Order: sequence, then structure tokens, then C-alpha cells
Amino acid sequence: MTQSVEGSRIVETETFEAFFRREYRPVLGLAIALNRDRWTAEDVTQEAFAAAQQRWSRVGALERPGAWVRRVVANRSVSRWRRMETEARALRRMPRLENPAPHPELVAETVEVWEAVRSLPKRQAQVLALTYVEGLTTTEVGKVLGCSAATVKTHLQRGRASVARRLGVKEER
Amino acid sequence: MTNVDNRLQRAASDVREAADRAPLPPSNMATVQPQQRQVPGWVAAATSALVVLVAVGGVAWLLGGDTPETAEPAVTTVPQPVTSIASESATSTTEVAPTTIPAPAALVSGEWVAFGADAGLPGTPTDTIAVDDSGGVWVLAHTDDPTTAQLYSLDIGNRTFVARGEPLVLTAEWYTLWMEATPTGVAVAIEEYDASAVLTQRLWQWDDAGWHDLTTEHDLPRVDPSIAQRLPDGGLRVAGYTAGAGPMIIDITDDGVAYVLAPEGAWGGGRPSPFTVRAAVIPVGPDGRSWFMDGIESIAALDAGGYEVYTADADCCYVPLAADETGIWASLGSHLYRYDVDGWRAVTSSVPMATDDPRSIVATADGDIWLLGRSGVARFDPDNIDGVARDGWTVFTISEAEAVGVPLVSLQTSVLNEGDAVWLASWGNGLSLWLHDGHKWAEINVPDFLNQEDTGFMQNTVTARNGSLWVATSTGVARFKPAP
Repeated sequence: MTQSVEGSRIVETETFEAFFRREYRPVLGLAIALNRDRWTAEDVTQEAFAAAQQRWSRVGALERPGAWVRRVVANRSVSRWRRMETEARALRRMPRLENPAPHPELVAETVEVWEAVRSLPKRQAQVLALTYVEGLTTTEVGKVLGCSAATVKTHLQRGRASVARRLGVKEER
Repeated sequence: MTNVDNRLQRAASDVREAADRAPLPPSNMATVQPQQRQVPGWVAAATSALVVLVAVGGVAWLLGGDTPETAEPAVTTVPQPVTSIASESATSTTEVAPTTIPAPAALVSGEWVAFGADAGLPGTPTDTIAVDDSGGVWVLAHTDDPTTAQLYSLDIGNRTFVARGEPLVLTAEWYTLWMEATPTGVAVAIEEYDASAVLTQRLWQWDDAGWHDLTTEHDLPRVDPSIAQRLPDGGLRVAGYTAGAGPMIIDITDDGVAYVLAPEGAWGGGRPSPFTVRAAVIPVGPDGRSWFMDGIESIAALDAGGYEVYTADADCCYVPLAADETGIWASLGSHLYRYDVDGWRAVTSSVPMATDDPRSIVATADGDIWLLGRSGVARFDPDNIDGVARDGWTVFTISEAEAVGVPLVSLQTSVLNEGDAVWLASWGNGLSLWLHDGHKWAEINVPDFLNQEDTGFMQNTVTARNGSLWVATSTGVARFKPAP
């Protein structure tokens, strides 16, 4: 922990290194769910932490800097821009790897589920990933994404219904 | 029948386990910082070694303890938008007191101006910007309704942005692929996600009569409008792949709208490219033809005169990369090829490893080609192939670039301005500018309002003929005008 003074308030900030050690793998899980291949998931995660490190004096002073990083990952993962760049990179790799497995570490059933999630509107995909991978409540998801719990609940219900249709499974919980 | 909740729970568990097994990245993942920024000692000290880190209680902070007091990103200070805006015409010399953001470490001085709610924009995220031949600036912005878009243009007389026509009412949440000026307004390619999560791409045109669905109005085949490029006569060419079919180009000119479709059966051996990337389509090549990937093994050129396929060697594939005034550049495996009046030839033995994973490729008018990758930037000078190290490539790796203060981490895009300078935009590390005349890098200080990482701070960039760089942001637009 380091201390800084903001006005009359003493703010305790953990070191970036400690934050990184604690949060990297959980955030990577979120990125794996939201990105079509493992390489991109790692890329997105590392860039989010790099961004946090650059602003650590501010991000580290937040009550929950992990939420900041998760929001960066959630938004970047669904960005059209990034998706196009990802495709470009995948294209470059094709000569070297004929049919690259996007997530070799995951079973086919899991890949199918997250493909269905990624096909959803971006907010629904983010909500489902944060809810299931991170185990967040609707209130917590709302704090990460900057929206109300009611909005999260709506996205969750619609997203779950769409995934059920795509997978051909029952919708009710 | 399996419950969807069970499927999601199992899939989530699988993902968490995969993440838990993941090795932690090298400690220098965030090594390259602009030099004026402070780098924590542990990062600077561990430039080559891996730091063995232990994952501890990954989601503990989320599942236990108190509710986060705030999950908001760091607060950034957004300069007040100016109420007066200088003309963007190429000949303009008038400038009106903008909000000046100091750039203490910049090698190139200039001024950033933010345009938000006080300058006529709604203060919502802008998706894209276009600059027309007269210097007019067009902006397509989101509104409070996620299914509605509003077009704005810069009113030079009143020095503010004004809404143009009625909002474009769409069927679902939307994003733009691109927006470009046409002879009568703008054309924009929009993606929509309907309630069934079906993605629809539509091509819209705006003129003084309002919005038109180009595909419906002109009875065009449905196309994934990958990219658009201005034609020399002021028109616009749209290039993309039709659904389940081959390449297609659409020309929007003063004469109207016309399209050319690759002949059925001529393309890709029945295997159209699964990709819709800008790097794989060149709308206007040096001979006027459009260049596409054809399947995964060939490259092809299309115009009204026909469709010509160039098939690569076995087990390889061409990827069209960029065009200059006399030819096009393409990759073949890890090699770089060029096609011009003399046909195809290999021009270098290998693409530098520093840019083995290029994210952006541009060809400048002086004949250089630039590859911008995660781990560096490489410039290829075809006039210096012989006798120059690395087959004509000048490579700026991270460590080399660091010495001159260039933030190369996470390069994402690049644009050329009329002066043929290369702007490099990177997530979280701001903008850089390559100045050809001095052969030096210049770092442009990034104001806080472009650093809102939670929203993806730079949505889109475009350069105007007078050298200004326009950036679409999460709250409006911003302009950087280099000092003379």
C-alpha cells in the first residue's frame, strides 16, 4: 500500500503489481468469454492493465479499480473496430496455421455457448459474461458497466433468451 | 433438454479454469510508456524476466466485502468546448481562440479543441467523422435512443455543429463501419443488431432530401460494405462482399449509383473470404480496379471490364495490403509482394518480425510502405532494397522507439494526411506523428478527454486537407491542429 493526500483525506492505494497479481486471471476469464480467440483475449486483457498502469495514480485510488479494468475489457471486446482488426490479424496468421482453434483450451460445448453470447447485442453479451464468468449480481454488473440494475436485469433476461434459442435449449432457469 | 442457465454456468466454469491455468504475461507488458510518464520501478527493472505471479482469490473483491463505492473510471478533466470554430477549408488562415491544451513533451506543437454539447453536438458518443473536399466536417452521433442516429455538420459561419435533417431511425442498436463524403452529402455503412441478435448491414446515403437506403432505392444486391474510398473525380467507391457471393463495388457519383458484381462462379472457387477486413480490400487500386481477397488462396481485381484472379502458390495466400500510385502491395505468407505494370514480384525476403502481426498498413506517396504492429513499426523503402540491412526495412521495435519517445504499444490504426505524414493511434498511448521531412518521430500529447479508456477513447480518426486531425470521441469530437 502507498499513501497519498487528497485534500484533507489520506488515500491508501495498493501497488499496481499487487493489483495485477490479484486481478489478471479473473479479468482474462472475462476476456476469453467475450473474444473469439484466446490470443485476442490475452491482448485485450494486457492492454487494459497497461492502461490502468499508466493512470495508476487515479485508477488505483478508486474504491474498486478492478471494475475499471473490467469495463475497459468489456467495452474493447465488443468494439467493432477491434473486431475488424482481430480479423485482419487472424487473416495474416492463416498461412501459418491452417485451421487455428480459436480457444484450444476450451471444450467445444463451451466455445459454442460463448459464440452464442458474442453474437448478442454488445450490452447483453457484456452482462452475461460478467454475470456468469465473474459471478456478479445485477447491481455489481451495473456498477461495472455504468447502468442501473434494472437495465442489467433486462439485458440478462433478453440475452439468456436469445442464447437459449440459438443453442436450442430451455430458457427458464 | 438442457437449461440455458446450466449451459452458461458450465461454460463460465470452463472459462474460469482456463484463465486460472493461463501463465501470467511478461512483466514488461506495459513497458513502453511515453517518456514523460512515470513507470513503476518493478516494470523498469524487469525488462526481460518473467515475474511469477500468483493468482489469489480472483473474484473475491466482487463476491465479498462491501459494495463498490464507485466503479467509475478515473475522472478526466474535459476542457470546455469552444464556442467558435475555425474554418476547416484548406485555404483558411483564420483561427479563433480555441481551448489550448498544453503539450509539454510534444515535439510537435499544436492545439486540441473539444467539441461537445456546447458546440452543438449532443454530448453523446460520436461514431464516425467525414471530411469532404471543401473541408466540411460531418459527424454521425448516437442519441439517447439507441436505435437513432443524428447527422451533424460543421457550420463554419456560426462556428458550431448543426443537425442535418431528421434523425435516422434504425431498427436496433447500431454502429458504423465507416462514413464518407459523397458529391451530395454522405454515405454511411451501419450495422444493426435486431432483437434476435441478427446482424444487418445497410448502406445509407444522406442528401438534402434526407436519408435513403441505397440498397433498396437502387435495387442493389445486399453487400457487406467493407470499406469506401473517394474516387479521383469526387465520387465514392464502396467495396465489399455480397452475402454468400463474391466481391462487389458500388460507385456513387454525380451521375448516380452504379454497381459491378463479380461474375457468379468466377470468384474464390466457391470459397468466399470469411473476413470483412479493411486490410483485405483495396477499393481503388492504381489502375482503378478494386482488389479483394478471393477465397483464401488468391487475390482478385474487379472493375466493369471483368474479374481477374491471381492465384498464389500452393499452401499460401495473398492478402492485399495497400496501394500506392503505381502498384499494390500484398503479403504472401511472411513475404511481401508487389504488383504493377511489370506483374508480380517479391520485393523483400521477409516481413520483419517486429511487425509480424500487422494491424495497419499504409503506403505513402514517396513509395514507402508502413507496417504497424503490436511490437513495433516497420517502414519499407523499395528504393533501398539492396545493400540495406533487413532487405530495405527500417524497423522501429519497441526498444528502439522508446529511445525517441514513441509510444508504440498497441498501435491500432493509422491515417495519412495530405502532407503524407503518418498518424499512429494507439489505445491508451495516444497519438504519434511521423514527419517525413525530418525523419523523426513526434509525440502528440493526448488530452484527458481522449483518454477515457472505459469508452474506447478514440472511435475514429480522419485528417483534413489542412493537416488537422479529427477524432470522434465518447463525448463528441476533437481536433488537433499542428502548429505551422
